[in-house]
Amino acid sequence: MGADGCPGGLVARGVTGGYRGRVVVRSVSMRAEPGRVTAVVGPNGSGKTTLLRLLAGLLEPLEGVVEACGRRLSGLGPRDRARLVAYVPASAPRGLGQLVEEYVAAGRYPLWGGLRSTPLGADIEAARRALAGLEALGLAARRVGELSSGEAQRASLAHGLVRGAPVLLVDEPTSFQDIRGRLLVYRALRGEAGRGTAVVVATHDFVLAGLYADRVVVMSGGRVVADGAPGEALTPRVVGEVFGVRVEWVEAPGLGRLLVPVEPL
Amino acid sequence: MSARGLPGFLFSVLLVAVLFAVSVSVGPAGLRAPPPIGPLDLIAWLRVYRSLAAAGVGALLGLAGALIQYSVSNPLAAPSILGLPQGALVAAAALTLALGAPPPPGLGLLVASLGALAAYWVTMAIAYRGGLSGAGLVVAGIAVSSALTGLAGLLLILVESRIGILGAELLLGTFAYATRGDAVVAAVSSVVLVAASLPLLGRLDLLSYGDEVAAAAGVSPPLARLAATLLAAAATAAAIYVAGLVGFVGLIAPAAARGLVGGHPARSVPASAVLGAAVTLAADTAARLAAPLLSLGELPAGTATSLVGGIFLAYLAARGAAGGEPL
Repeated sequence: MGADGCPGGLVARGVTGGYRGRVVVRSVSMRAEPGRVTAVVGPNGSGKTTLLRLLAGLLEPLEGVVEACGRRLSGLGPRDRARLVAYVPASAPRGLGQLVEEYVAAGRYPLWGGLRSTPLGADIEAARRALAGLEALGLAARRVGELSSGEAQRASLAHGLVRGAPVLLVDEPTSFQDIRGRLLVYRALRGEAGRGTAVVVATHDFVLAGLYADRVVVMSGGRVVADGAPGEALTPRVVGEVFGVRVEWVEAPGLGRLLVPVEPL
Repeated sequence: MSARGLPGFLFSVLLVAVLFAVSVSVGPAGLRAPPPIGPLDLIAWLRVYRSLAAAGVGALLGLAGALIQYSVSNPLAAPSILGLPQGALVAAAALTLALGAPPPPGLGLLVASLGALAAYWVTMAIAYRGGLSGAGLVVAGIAVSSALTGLAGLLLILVESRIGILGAELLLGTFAYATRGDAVVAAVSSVVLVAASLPLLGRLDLLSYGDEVAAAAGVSPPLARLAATLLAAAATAAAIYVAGLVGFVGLIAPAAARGLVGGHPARSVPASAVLGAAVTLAADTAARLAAPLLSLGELPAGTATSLVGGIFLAYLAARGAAGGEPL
């Protein structure tokens, strides 16, 4: 998906939202550029998931607007919205005996004609490519319900990637991954951004976000408290206040400055 | 139907054809050559009606079970466990009592469908309060279906004594009294409802992975679930209208279908309807063959399906608790 195919990427202006009268996200404005990985970083309960659901158009904002590729999400039908924005929730897929390659290929459902209900060969091929990119091709013929948490997480990311939508939102894609899995996930997200997609990843792991994101939006209590390049948004002072931990900069040759958590404050 | 599920699907169709032929050829006196079907051969036509009714009801129950299971992503969620046929039976019995006569088919099917929907709604409401875990849904369903079975038993005994038509026997569904009209209702409604469910199966696939996955793919979870539920309630009502409560077919058929053609609903939902027909034909034939052995007259087909279904449920529960299958 070329950048010119999605002018403006994903934009939120003054977005407030939540559930049944409980406001979780308060007047958030942010932008996710095409071709960039934007990380939404914050501790548990800071409103990351709610913000992502608002950005995906799954939750109607109480105030403010979300636009993808210059189009207001709230004015779009569900299928058109799903073609513009792929969202990968943090919860593991359940399923009822489907194969992993069928689950991954079902990520292309919004691209299919109205009455089609099954993936065709091309969809299964795309699913296998996406799995291979995450070194998870071996899962293709397994059943969805039999996967470990980490395997299910990679299958879900592949389910989001196969849609080829101009905007990709991913909620906590590394929480169950081992070290290698985390790096594979971020490599895949960077690769997707390299194709011009506006990628947004919500995570509490500010170390990984600092390493692999182009831009970091720090959330606390449902508000944005810092927004900018990783080195500007993730400072020891901001991280200390938001996460309640003491962090230090460490010079890493070839990587620049890394934030290293030291102790709880 | 993609190539992957085709051999299993063809096997199911063949199985139904064989069982149908056996069912037409078998009477309480045992296995005999198929009687010649002539315009005056009443017994032969009664067996054809009966076999069509059994196949159609089985297909309806297999369809209803598969639709419900995908819509709540739970392999234990059979209609007869969640209270749908019991609700349909209570509604149909109450309507018959109110009218003082057997209701006309259209009204009877409508009221029975509403009864199935109401019972399912109560089950879901209880399960939501309890947090809607897989096991919680089943426990809520057992509570509702047990209470409604008791109520249905009471109403059906009243129907039998006040109106003088078939009553309490419907609690263990039977095809012994199947008429030409029953055969037509079962065959037509099963074909129509299976066809009506086909456009829904892609959405049901996404729904079974979880509501968030479905919504993110542009599928409305409440609408897709409502459509599946309405079709399942209509199928359950038609089955109740023809045969009464033939339990557990909606549990056995979907699981067998997934084993045979794989888990994608585009393959397994139609296959579940076909295998439901096979299970019910086999149960009815077995019940007829058992009659001379017991010298009690015929057994209701529901005795066989409940016996096998109960054992199968125990197996599923034990395997689900031990293995990774979502309960």
